[in-house]
Amino acid sequence: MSLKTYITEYLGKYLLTTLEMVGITLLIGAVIGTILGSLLYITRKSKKKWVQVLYKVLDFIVGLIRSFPFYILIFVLLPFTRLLGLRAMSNEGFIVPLTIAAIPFIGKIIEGSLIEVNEGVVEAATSLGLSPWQIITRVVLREALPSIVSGITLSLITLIGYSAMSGAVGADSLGSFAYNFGMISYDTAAMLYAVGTIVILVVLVQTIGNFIYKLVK
Amino acid sequence: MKKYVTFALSAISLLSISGLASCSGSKKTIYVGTMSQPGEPILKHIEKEYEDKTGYNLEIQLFTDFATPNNALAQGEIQANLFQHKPFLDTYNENNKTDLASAAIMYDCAYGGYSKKISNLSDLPEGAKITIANDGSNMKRCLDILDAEGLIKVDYGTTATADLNPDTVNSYIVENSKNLVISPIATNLIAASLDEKDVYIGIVNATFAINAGLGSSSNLVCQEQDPTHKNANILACKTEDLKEDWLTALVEVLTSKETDAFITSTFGSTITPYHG
Amino acid sequence: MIVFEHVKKTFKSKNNIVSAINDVSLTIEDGEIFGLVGQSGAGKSTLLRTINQLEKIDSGSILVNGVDVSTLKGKALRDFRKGIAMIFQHFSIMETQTVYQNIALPLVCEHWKRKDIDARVHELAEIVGLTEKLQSKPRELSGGQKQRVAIARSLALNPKILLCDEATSALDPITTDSILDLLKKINKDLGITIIIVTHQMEVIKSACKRIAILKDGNLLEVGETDDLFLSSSSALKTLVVEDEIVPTTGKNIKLYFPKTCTAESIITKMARDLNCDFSIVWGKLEKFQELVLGTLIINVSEENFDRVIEYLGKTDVRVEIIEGGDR
Repeated sequence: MSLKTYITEYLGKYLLTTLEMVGITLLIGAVIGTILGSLLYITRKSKKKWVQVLYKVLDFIVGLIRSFPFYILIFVLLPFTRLLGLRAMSNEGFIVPLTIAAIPFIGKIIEGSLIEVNEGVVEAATSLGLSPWQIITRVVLREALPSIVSGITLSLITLIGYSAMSGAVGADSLGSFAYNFGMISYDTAAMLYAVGTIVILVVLVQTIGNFIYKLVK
Repeated sequence: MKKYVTFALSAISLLSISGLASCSGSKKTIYVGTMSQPGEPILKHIEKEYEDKTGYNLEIQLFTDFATPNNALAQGEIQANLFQHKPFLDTYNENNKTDLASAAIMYDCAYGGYSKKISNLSDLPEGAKITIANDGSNMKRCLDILDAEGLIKVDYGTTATADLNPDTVNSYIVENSKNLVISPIATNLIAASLDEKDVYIGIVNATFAINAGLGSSSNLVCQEQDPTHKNANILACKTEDLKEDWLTALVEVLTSKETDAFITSTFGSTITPYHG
Repeated sequence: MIVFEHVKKTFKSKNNIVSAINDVSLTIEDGEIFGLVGQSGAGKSTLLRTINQLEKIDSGSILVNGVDVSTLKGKALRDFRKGIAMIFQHFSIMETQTVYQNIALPLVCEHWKRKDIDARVHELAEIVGLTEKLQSKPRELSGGQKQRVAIARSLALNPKILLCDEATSALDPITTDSILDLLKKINKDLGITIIIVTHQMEVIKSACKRIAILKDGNLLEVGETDDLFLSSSSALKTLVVEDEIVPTTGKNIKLYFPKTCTAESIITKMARDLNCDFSIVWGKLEKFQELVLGTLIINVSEENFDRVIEYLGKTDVRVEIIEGGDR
């Protein structure tokens, strides 16, 4: 495949589907992941018995999903995707396993970022009479923001990596292009173009992530 | 400010999901699953003609392995697929209790034995390794080629093609005078396996071989003889769809003289149009 | 007024139960600067944190202006905490936020109007002397400035009580003095009761009018700071690690001069009256808020010892015999 063919016929479509897939996943994953991470953070510290049990259950589920090889998760979740009324083996269908994998991943990253927040600041906020909701949203999440930003950047890069497996269920991404048109078609040039595009994408994401990190720090 | 940003972001995400889900709403979309070679270029070639003729929207969906396109078809995720021959489809139907049918015979895609170490079968040393396909029907195809060349003798006994197991490949070989090591692996890895130092021959379909740069005749050491075209690739669909007009139209454009000419000019001798 | 009555608190760890506060009863008056002092592990911080319920107590009661704090829960507890400010050893301000945002935090959480917040933040910055630094991030500030931010933040909602948990322990002596001056100013101008937990002698001397001395969770002594120093309270001594180097021959006598008399006249008069020699080992003056108190150590020979003690007994001076060579 010539570079010209790649750019004019394939690049736009595959780049767009990759960005769409990963972008939507990140949006949903970040929102639910932040809630999950905060929940883990809150329940982890509690002294109440039932809350501790809740933490253990949450943590177990998170660990369970995270330890699933993503390739397997894609197939395990096919019926669930259909239940949502989506074509499971399609671009929009692939967003479901991608999101399910992203939520616990981002959740754990958020939890880690929150734990790093100086306990003294939390105590000071408590002494100021702030409610638990205010402490989480106005103090802990804000203090953790730089660390969360680098965590989200890492998640985004991981998601771009995961998206390469979309070809397994017939969904398109730069990664599946590299595999279909490069690897199994023995077209090294096509593979290099796609991989090169992914590299540029990752570098771009990292650069933007670093920039936002500096901004919020 | 933050609230508005959050709201805007969630709105965008919702819109894009509904957008993705409904983009095919106005026109009926026919999803056809295939693999990057040789199905994709053929379907891409007829895409516009089909859409113009029928008013339907044709989506080509690429798969990376042999198992999934039939699963997708059986689940109704796609309406047709083009990547397999009839014995493969029969095996799938039998193993999965499905009722997928052949809508049209498309082309012959000959299997051949390729090598980077020898140019004549008689040069094959004792104990050489040969890689073959690892799904039941294609494994049988490969073994049959070796049998026809007199390298081994195979006997499947009462085992149906659908029940052939790559793990017990040696139990089907009743005679192996050169002590060849027969190794079933994923089809898309066979051409690459020729770079391994102990692999002398890989048996794979011509499309893969050509793509992998094995096109020159010096690499081809043996070839499948298929006078009955039983291994010709087919367009598969659900049995209940056989009479649907979208399918009839699809078969029509796929088997047209014009398409045959395109296939011949694109794939040369490796893919030969044949419609029964 | 804060009244502790038979307050008890234990910490349970896997293997043992540690008594952090053991039956402490204590009253702190409105408007005073009160010190909770003791070595680390004495339970002073724990006791301080029971006032705003950062620590729950096991038994007894704590009444803050008549309210039994251990009965408070949820919203009532949060509203109660808004009336009690607290500052910490490591400042505990938000690193990602500007000085302005840090000070404004409690106001924002109370849903004040932006204009009112702005006015209040500037007013508070004025009090703690940070008007120029409002847009700075904490990493651009010195330790003392960070503590000023924390003080301003804690005062935002007009509290009646300010709790200081080792608030100057991480600061150098000069900065410590300036923070203590600020606390004294706040106490005087705003009439806020200040309770200081510290192990630093300078803090006690400089700021605390009254102190309570704690050891291993027990309350050893409560009283006016200068009285406790003058009476050479044994409890206080456990805190002071003053290596008093004294001669090994003769007898060493330590004299404490109360507010009412001065050192020189008594010493010189004694020399004249008894007609005996003694050497002055060392002496020093210490400032207790507004007062100056003096101590002096003299060395006398064995034969003159009884006469000197007898003579000094008739004066206002408090006397303590120091076992020189045995130390």
